[in-house]
Amino acid sequence: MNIKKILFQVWSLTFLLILGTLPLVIFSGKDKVVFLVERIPKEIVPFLQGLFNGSSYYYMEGQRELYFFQSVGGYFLTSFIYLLIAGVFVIILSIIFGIWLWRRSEKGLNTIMGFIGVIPDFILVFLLQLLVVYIYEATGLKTVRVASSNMDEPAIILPLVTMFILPFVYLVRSLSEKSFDVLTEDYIRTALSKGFRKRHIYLFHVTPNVIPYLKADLHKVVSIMVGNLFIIEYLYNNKGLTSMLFPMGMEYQYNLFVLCFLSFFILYM
Amino acid sequence: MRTRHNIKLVVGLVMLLLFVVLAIFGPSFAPYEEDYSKKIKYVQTDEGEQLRAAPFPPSKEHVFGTDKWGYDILTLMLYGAKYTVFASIAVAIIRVIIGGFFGMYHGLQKKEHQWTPRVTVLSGIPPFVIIYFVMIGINIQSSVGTMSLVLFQCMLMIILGIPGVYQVVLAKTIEIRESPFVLASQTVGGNKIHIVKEHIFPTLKGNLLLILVNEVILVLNLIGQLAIFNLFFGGTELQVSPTIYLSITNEWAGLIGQSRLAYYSAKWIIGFPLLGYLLFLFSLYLLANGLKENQREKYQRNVYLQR
Repeated sequence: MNIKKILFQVWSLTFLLILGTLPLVIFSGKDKVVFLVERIPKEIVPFLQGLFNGSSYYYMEGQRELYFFQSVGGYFLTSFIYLLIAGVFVIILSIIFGIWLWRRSEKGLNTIMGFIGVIPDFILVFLLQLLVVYIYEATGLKTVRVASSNMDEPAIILPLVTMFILPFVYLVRSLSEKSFDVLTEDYIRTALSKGFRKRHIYLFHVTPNVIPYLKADLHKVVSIMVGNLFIIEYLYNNKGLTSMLFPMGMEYQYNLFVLCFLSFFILYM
Repeated sequence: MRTRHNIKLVVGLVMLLLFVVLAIFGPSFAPYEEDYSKKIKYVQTDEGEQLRAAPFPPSKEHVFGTDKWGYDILTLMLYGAKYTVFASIAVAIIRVIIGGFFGMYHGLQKKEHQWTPRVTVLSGIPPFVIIYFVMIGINIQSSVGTMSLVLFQCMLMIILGIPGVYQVVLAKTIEIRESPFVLASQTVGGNKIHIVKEHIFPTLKGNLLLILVNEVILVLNLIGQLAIFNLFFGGTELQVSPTIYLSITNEWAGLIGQSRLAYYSAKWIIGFPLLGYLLFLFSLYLLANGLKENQREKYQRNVYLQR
């Protein structure tokens, strides 16, 4: 079993390396798609060698050569902080709302929440931006910044709100569904017949049984958030890891790596 | 109580059918023929005898207004509808067929193998990034035709979506297989095929439908995310000075993506495709909810603690 696991990791690593080379390897030629398979190892091998002799740690930005680890710190931090703050809010608030406060009888709220859950992240960004602009035009009220224009004026609130909403809605629905299921269990009925107060039952019986599901779902929530991160950083013009990833240089981006490590860190929360 | 869930299901279904009809017959409803003639500039005089340039806000001639180059938005949307609607539905169906088949097949086997998704270096990468890397070289100013790009992207989306469907169906099949009524049927002596036909499949059917609708939504999301990064479904046209990316097929997420900076000024350019996209999503959502409530009604257990 252990060998299988190791093999799996190695395989995914290789896949990652190959994936990174693809933009340089597949492109449209005269009339058809050109797939330069031979080029794949040509790109990977120097990179791997470069890992050891230090040359892979430099990259080009325009005409300048920069040292990778020097510049990645700032970007990494930006992405990380956004993720962290949004993540903390998501978890805490979703527990409160999902397990305790949410009432099944409010069909209206339920439907709205559900619909927000299926809206893709980028649409949400547009809606929010439209909303802010609309408010400004209607009332002359400048509320929050719609996008980051430069390094010193990052848009904070709107990206955080966007990052927060989708995982939050997802988690609330998932948790409330699970707690609904728990409420059909026999031990709840027993507790009720024993005379425990509602609040007590919620705190000591429902919650402990829902938390394991929360842990399992956390993985998915994090993947949602990291996926959102790409879109959100791009659309709001935040200087996070995504901006390092996409202006493609001649070598391929090990930023992919860093992004994955990012997700690891968040997972160990 | 019966009327309640029927409403959502019916409304969702009706809306969806409406979109399908729009997708098929859209071009014949379109008020203008300006489909593939992107080079035409449109300058118009209004009542005050002024010379104005595109984009034009919604008016009698252009119900949804026009975009920066004078193309009628309603026309664009009607031409692009079929890509949005059919691609998402088709990809979802194939995903569910393949993923569902394997999920069911493996779920019915007696082995205890668990395919637990493990966390790898790849876990941080959302699926659209993978597609992005593959297609970035070929989607822009492509020399292969629209149809080939469409098919290729569909194939990629199918492949990336199968594991998701597989896992869900697998889990569900195992759950059903271990439920009391199946065990009862086994003890009474029903053979495997009988069990599948009479017990497992009917229960799974409702779930599969729900999974299908969810997958359509996911595929729509995927197309949209790629569109944000200028990989429009069916091909991207690149114009230089200034650098502008345009969707060749006018698929709705593409329309939204190519005009995403318009929220400052000409809001209708992004507003109407956005609205259409949301309505389509909403119809799918209603459908999914109607189905879910249908399932709930059948398999509901009692809630012991009211809130």
